[in-house]
Amino acid sequence: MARKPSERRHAKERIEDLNLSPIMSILVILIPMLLYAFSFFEVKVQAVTAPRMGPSNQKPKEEDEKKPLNLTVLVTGKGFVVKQQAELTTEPEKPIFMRSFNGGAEEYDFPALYSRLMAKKKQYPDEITINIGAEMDIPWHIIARTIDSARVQLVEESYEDMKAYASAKVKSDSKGEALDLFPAVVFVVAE
Amino acid sequence: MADEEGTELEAADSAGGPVEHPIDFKKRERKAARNDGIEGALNINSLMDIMTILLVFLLVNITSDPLSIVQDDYLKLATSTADYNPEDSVPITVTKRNIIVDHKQVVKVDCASGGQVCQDGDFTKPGNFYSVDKSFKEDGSESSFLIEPLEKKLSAIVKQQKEEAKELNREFKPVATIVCDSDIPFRLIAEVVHTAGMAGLSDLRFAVIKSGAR
Repeated sequence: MARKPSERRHAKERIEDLNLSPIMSILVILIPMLLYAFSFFEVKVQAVTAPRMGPSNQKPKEEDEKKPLNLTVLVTGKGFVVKQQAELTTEPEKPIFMRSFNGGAEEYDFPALYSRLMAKKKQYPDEITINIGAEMDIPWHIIARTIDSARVQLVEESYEDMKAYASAKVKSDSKGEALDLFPAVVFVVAE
Repeated sequence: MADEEGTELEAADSAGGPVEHPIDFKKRERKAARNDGIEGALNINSLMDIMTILLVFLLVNITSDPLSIVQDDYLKLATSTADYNPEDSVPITVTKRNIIVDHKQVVKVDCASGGQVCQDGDFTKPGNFYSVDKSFKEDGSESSFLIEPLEKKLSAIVKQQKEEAKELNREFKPVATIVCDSDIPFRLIAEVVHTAGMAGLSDLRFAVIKSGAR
């Protein structure tokens, strides 16, 4: 309805506040949905190479003077078996059996595995490849921890205790980058 | 004090205006202010600010995660001290129930608990064995490591990605990220890895949850 000019002049102009209720309603629905999809954990990746099936068909290159170490760790139900190129082996490797730490249940001896691999690294510093295989029923979380123990060098060269090994810091070079142990992991399947 | 009040009243009188007591004036002003605003309205501006910041934070985090993993009873990742970030790749999810590629179930995973087929409550128990039925494998052979429906699906994705890379004049990277439950046995992992390799995905990464302790 039109106002008289005098009324229009004296009428108080009032700016209406924006109605935020619909936007709030959308946000109240959207935020729980996004919270559900949000990961509260940090996802990283471990790189591996496809498994090799059975004996290799590749003929060894004659010009290669250095024989590869062919370091292999097999995860069994009883522990770890470490193997290497037969020609480079002076005495048979002893298996690393599962053992109890601090009176608890028996578990895989990852500190001993790391210590053994570190000793191999000192013997063959240029070697970067490790073959990791397992018995068919070994669960993935054990294999993931095995890859962990073979990937980087830690501050100490050997560990006895699981607690000390679990909390050990990674050894770094002068640039602050982690020193590799056997970073190239190849899955092997024995047929 | 009384002298000052008297002086003010005299000043108002001398200006010709109506004489009003200062306390009455304040009461009138407060009443006007009350009537002027919208009665009973809640100020939600601050809440809106918080909600908007939260929304932006969540959106940025979710969109920057290339894997978008949601863990449940059928998918719990293994922990590791690995420090490599995931990148854009073909994700292959192996849960205790299915093998999923591109958000679609490709193969069903069988679960056996003490020689019996797992019931709903058995999936959280340890000691189960997970496998793919031999009918999904090459030649229907139990010993085969090639899962045929998975190989078909991955080959189609690889072909599509190669064409896209060619059109965009980019190099195709044969990378696959395997998002695998921590209880999946090595046999099934080896089958998935071998099948991915046969489909042309040679560079494989396993998704793990970053942990401080190894």
